[in-house]
Amino acid sequence: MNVSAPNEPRATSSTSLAPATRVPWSLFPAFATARTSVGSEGGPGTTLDNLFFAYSFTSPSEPTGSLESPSEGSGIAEAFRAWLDLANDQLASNCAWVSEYRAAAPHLVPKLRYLPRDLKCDVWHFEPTVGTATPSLGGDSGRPTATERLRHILDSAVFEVAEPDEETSFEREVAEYVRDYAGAALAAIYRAIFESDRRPDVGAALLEALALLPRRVEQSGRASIFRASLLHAEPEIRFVAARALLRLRGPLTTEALRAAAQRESHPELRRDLTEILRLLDGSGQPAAP
Amino acid sequence: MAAANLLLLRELKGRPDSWILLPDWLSASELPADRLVALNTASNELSMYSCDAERLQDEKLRITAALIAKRTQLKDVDWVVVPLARLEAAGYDIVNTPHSGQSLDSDVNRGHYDLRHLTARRLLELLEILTPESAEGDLPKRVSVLSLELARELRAAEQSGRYRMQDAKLREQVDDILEEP
Repeated sequence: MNVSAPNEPRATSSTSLAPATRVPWSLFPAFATARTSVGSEGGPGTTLDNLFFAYSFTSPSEPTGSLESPSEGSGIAEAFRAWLDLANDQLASNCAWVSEYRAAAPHLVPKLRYLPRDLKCDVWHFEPTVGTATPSLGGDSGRPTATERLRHILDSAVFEVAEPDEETSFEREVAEYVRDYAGAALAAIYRAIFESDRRPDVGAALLEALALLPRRVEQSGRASIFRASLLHAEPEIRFVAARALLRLRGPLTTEALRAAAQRESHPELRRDLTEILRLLDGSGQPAAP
Repeated sequence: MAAANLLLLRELKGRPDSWILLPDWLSASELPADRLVALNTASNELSMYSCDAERLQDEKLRITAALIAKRTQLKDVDWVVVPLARLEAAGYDIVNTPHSGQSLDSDVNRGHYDLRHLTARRLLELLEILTPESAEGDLPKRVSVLSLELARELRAAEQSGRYRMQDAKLREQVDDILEEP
């Protein structure tokens, strides 16, 4: 799917968007696709084409932006629809698998007219996170874009074995990166995990570092990445993602982990997922996957 | 606590997934080198904690929390578990060393052991014993204590007066994790 990334603005489509309300840049969702093998669901090595990931957050006071939304109403639903309109052609044909989206945001479903009637999505969830900073677009102040900065972090990373109570330099760098670039950082991290040729342990380290951030920091976006990573082809990524989700928790955590436990083919990872579900349940009894 | 029922637990440093996932290139008779990170000795000794086999689920949490309470970061902790008798049978020099225990819980420290006089060769043999792929019976060779349960245990320990977290940053993380999402 060829759509713009948050730090790479593109012109609005003239076909479906009325030139009206300016949408804060911080409403801009990140899109990515991935070819993801998730083990036993639907048979060994099921491939999920074009896994769709949407991430969004809002800070109503932010004035800047490059998208225009339909004039009726305002807020995240319209911004999201606007952005979806931009990629409508691609989405209509490529959004092949999503689940349980309606449970997360049923009020939005009727507006997603171009998506299947039985739309489901458990990695596709967004909710307003008030107070986040505007993602940097980069370039205009000589500052590197989010993608460039992440590339530098990953290229120079030394994955040392730290003492258990030490924050590693990598964890520190990722924390600063997310603080500086907010949503754009998460979009770049998502792409690094799903769309780059980086080794899976690099993606796992990124998820671990994200998990250590305080809850208030990009909670919704981080949760989206963690949930999406439960579907990753690499077991290392799925392993870390499940633990990260437990630490963060959120509206769709249990459903996503339960689905992950059902499809997980690796016995040790399935055991971990069962334990995680037990902890989430809080009853001390194993939760049925 | 009968020695026959004692398990020894060794904290896994590094990435715990190296104890779960084997690289594609690894032949069946080999073990990944990353696992050696968990066996970093000091003075040719290896520190371990013990618990009763019947109480592993409760004790792993108690041991871990009492150790974490002295740290500054709340992270998931993984352990590798082995029966004391298995190591004794393999000829390891195992000594109960309560004074070397690093936790804030004196009961936990009472169950501290050192494996002494380790050579590099003996360390590799130990790794083979500890490897989960050679697990016997129902005993899990790797157990995890995750941040959420650790946070709950640390708060419970403070509330009951057993011990207090030593670092304000750790307490902040506990509060953060236990905050209702």
